[in-house]
Amino acid sequence: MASLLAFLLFAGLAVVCALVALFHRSVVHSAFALLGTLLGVADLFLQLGADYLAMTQVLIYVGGILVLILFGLMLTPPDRRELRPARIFLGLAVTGAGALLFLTRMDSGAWKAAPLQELPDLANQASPTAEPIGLAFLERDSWLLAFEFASVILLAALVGAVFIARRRFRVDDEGA
Amino acid sequence: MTVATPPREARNQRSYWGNVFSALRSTAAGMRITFRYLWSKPVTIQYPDEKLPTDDRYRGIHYLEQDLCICCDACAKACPIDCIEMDATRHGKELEWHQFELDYQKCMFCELCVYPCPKDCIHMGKEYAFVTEDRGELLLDLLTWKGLTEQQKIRIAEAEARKAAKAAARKKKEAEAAEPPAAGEPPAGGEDKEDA
Amino acid sequence: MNLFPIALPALTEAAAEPPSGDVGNPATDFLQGLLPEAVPWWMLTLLGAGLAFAAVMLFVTVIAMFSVWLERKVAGHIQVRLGPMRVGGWHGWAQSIADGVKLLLKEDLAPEGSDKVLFKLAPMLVLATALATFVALPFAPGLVIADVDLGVFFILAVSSVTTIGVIMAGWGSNNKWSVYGAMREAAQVASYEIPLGLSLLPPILYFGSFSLVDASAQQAGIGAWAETSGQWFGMAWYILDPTRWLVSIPSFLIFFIALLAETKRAPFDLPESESELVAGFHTEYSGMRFSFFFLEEYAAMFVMGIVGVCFWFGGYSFPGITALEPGPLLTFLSILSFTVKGLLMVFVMMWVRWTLPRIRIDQVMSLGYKYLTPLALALVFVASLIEYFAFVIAG
Repeated sequence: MASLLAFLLFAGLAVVCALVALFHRSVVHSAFALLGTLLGVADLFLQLGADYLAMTQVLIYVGGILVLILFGLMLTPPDRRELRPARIFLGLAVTGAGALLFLTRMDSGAWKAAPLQELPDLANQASPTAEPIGLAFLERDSWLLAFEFASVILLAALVGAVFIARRRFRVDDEGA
Repeated sequence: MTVATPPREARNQRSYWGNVFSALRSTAAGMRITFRYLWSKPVTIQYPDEKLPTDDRYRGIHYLEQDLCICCDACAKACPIDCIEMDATRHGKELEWHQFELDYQKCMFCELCVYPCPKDCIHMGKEYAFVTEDRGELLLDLLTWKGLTEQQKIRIAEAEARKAAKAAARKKKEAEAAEPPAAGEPPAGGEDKEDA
Repeated sequence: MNLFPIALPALTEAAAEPPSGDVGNPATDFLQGLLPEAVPWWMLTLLGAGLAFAAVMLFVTVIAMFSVWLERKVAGHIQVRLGPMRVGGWHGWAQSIADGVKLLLKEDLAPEGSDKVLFKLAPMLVLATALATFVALPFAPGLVIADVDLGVFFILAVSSVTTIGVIMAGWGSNNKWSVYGAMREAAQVASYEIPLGLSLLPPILYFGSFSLVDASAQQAGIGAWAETSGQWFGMAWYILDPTRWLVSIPSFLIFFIALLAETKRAPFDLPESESELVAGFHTEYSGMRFSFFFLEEYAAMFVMGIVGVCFWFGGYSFPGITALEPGPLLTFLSILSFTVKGLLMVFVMMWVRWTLPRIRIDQVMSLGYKYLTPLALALVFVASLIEYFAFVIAG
């Protein structure tokens, strides 16, 4: 019962904040509303017993990505071209197709949603997940290769970012 | 011609580790200095409770020795901005004070009023905190009393009594002179001179 | 070698394990003994949460007020001044109370043209995150509001939400100085979270736990670690372990520098640099809302200092204290030791503030990315090597 109440509370927070993020006229308000969504989702992770995931969600998404989104929003002027009907319809079509696919798949097989009353009280029963996640990443016969792949991809992204930034500077220097 | 390259430090280009260690070293040096200052005795004081001693030559609010002053106006004449105003009535030797006002809105504490004083009765004082809520209060009266004091009244009465006695004595003498004069008596004039 | 297993055996095994320990906190336990049996569990939980919140709020307020007074005294004496001397008699001890009352009574202003919702929400968000971090702090053996297994990770995650609050304040104020301050805060904190997290890894590797509770218990030699506590009169502190000095001392230095940047303290106080930005993100705030930011700053300083204390300086442990029998005396002395150690860290932060000048934003970035991050990464590597060999030697 308690877990159901908490689930409803935080899922509600996530959904309401997501709706605000979608429909608010001010784009900065939308970005701030994402804070509620991300925190709500983090709490849902906590209730499912995934404490490491919840903390990472807050640290990375709120402390990193949301800050970067806000940074980007405040540093870039609004682009009127984004309001062309063609772009809007394209966006609507893609998201609509995705939502349709998700809704149809959700009702079948492993995706089938469990009835709300049967939610186990995972938050108070699960043991800490930091150690098993660490072992799963680094142990023999585990996700080691995938983990290292991800780090190489991130390194490539980092090098690319540095490259782009440096090139811009050089062009500016020559122009001056 | 070759120019000697300055040492690395002087060009302000240190190596990576040089930067790290110089940052650590300079921070430690700074922290040591501030830690020493942390325990040193403060140089500031709790002002209204404690006050720093003023210098002997300090020029604060004027101080008037009223019983010496003869209301000669020398200081007022010496004042370059005319901020001294004085008024007294003369009763023989005694002065009946009405005002000795200094306008501290104007006064610039130049001390020029102190030098010409023949009786050395006006001085620059030590008081420097005289903030007021009203400009009128800056028009300061330096008199410690106004009008006539009891002592002055007694002295004036004594002087008048002496004068009356003298007048009576003179009258008597004139009356005697009208009569046959006594030979060889010198005229008594010491007190008369003093009165004048 | 199975490269991409579908299921994680370790994870599913972990999830199947029974719960370890009770799930209540000291406040609920305390109330359970006080209230009759008939009280429903949800009321107990709510009351326990309320009690814990009140205790944390009181503790934070007292610590923050004391820190403000201490800051002013330290600032004064370092500059060979006296600092506050009048209010309350002895060295102006009541100055912070007087300031607090003044801030409470001041008018709550919102500038015209400001974004009212964000403007009013920001201080609450900032203070709420600062208070939430206190939940994971071990004040004494067994006295922790929530024994979060990922203690320090939780503290880092929650305190990173503060940045959002600061950006919110900067944006909502409708003031260019505020926005500048908020942007600087965003750039600075996002950059310094990396060295901060990395510099915490050596002690985490040493203790084998993210939890501040575990780290403190290990260093105090309590419970499962009772037999290892012979060293240094019962102080098995990380910083006192000579075999780890190669990593423990540099990692603490990096942690301390990153901590200063993370809590916006001088020489990294660019978000509120008063000579350039008036007061940065809290320029437009007055009264109680301003004091929320103030409280948050000092609460964050204390919490971050305590993280350093718990990982390097033995948490609540102190020679002689941990040898005592468990009881109210032990708890009291542990809380005292904990608080004094935290305040000592806060004092060092103040000492640094009144020593070093504020550095430029490009210097901040270069220090963070060119120096602290690579050095911290190298330290993590060295620390893992040391811990690996220590493990091999120990067998």
